[in-house]
Amino acid sequence: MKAKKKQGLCFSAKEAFAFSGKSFTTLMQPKPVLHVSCHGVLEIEHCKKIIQYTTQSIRLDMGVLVISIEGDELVMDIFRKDFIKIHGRVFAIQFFYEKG
Amino acid sequence: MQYNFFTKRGEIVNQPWGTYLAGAVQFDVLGGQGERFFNECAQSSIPIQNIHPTPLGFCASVPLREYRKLHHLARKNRCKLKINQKRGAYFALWMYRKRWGILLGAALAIGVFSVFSRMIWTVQFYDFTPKEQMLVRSQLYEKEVYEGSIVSKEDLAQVQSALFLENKDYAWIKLNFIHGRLIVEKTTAEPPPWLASQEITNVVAACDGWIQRIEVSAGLLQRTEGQFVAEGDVLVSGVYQGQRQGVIAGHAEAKVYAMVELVYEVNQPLTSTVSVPNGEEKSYYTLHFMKLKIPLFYQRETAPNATQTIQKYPLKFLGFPLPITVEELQVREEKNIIVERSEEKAAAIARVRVYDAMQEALPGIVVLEDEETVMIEEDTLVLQLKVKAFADIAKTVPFPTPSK
Repeated sequence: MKAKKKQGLCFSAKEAFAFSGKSFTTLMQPKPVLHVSCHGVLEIEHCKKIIQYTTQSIRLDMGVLVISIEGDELVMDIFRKDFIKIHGRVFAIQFFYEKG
Repeated sequence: MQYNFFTKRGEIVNQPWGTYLAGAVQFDVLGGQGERFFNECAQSSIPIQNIHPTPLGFCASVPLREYRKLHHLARKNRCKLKINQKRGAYFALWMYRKRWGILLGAALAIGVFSVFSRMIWTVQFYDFTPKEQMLVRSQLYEKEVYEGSIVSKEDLAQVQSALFLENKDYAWIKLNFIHGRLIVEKTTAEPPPWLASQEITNVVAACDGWIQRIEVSAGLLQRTEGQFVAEGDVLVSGVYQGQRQGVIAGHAEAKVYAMVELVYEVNQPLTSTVSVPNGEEKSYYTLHFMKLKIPLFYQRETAPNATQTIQKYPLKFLGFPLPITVEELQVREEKNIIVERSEEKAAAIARVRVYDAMQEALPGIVVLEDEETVMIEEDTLVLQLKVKAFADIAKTVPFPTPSK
């Protein structure tokens, strides 16, 4: 009697490389980082966009959440695609997990 | 390249040369969707700096080369752009775009001043007598160190060493180059302490004479006052028998004053040919500036029997020295003339020649009596002078070595 061939388990490419449920682009995207110094300088990496900008508050879309910086005389020294530098008298930094 | 160019008030905070050369524009964003405009700028890789809100919108700055890209994005977001300030080399030079001569002149002036700072404008001598100054000045000219020349520190060090070796009278000599001035300083060397000569010598009579007074410094006296000595007689001996130490050999030194009788005969021609300037004198000038020699004449005509003298001196304008050295070549034409002298003049010249020879042979001689005889032989005056004088006849000579 011919031996029955044992059937192996089937893995998709996503399962093989453990990309479970997340797209490749999402995984390869750089993660947003926020550096805060006590001298009133904030350095933000990989911010998506500015939502609102006034002298007293700045709202930034970081992708996974929204940051709201409240303070006085907030000036954006450098604004690039992957880097933002803000200085001023910062009073509060708030994190909103629901955009809007 | 950094673009930290403006503060929020528009002041320059960090202005490296790269930023200045690239240029920057500060502008206002009026109306529309300002935030979205900046987001799109970032997406388009336009580096925006110093963004701060204003009552009518935003104010920001951007590098000059990126400013043209903003218009399209501004139109898309219904914003108006208004330039506040323009900074950088491009804008600074814009007003000179058709006046390049001004810039060229400024650049030339900077170049000239940078070169002139290394040039010798004037040479000053400190603690030099006029004679010493003239000597050192001529030595400096030989080494091409003069007003208008460019010298390095190494060159000056070499010249300084050479001057020190050439001038034995100076303990040290220093060339200080400060702000275009070359200051020459020196210290005169003190003479070395006198040391008694160790040579074995005798004192002999320089001429015949009658000894009047003897002053012996060293050696054994061989003659006494009142004696008559002939030329070459030993007056003081350097080698003698000591009372206890045996034979003593040393340096004999003495002053022996004696009455001497000398006879001189001099022939003085009554006519002679001499070369004298004929009154025609020409000067030719050459300017020395840096390594350049600029002659100020076309053709030099020199007579065969002409004397040439070269003088160098700094050029001055209204008393102020300029970094240019003038070389003056003085050419004096001369002619030969026959000079006829009278007997009296010829005799006077002959007499002076006799007295010069007498002083040279016996320094400090005092003539007591003289008797002269003048004869004319063809074209020559013969002066015979018999002199009775008081002089130091001591002459130091090496001790004669015995011949084998």
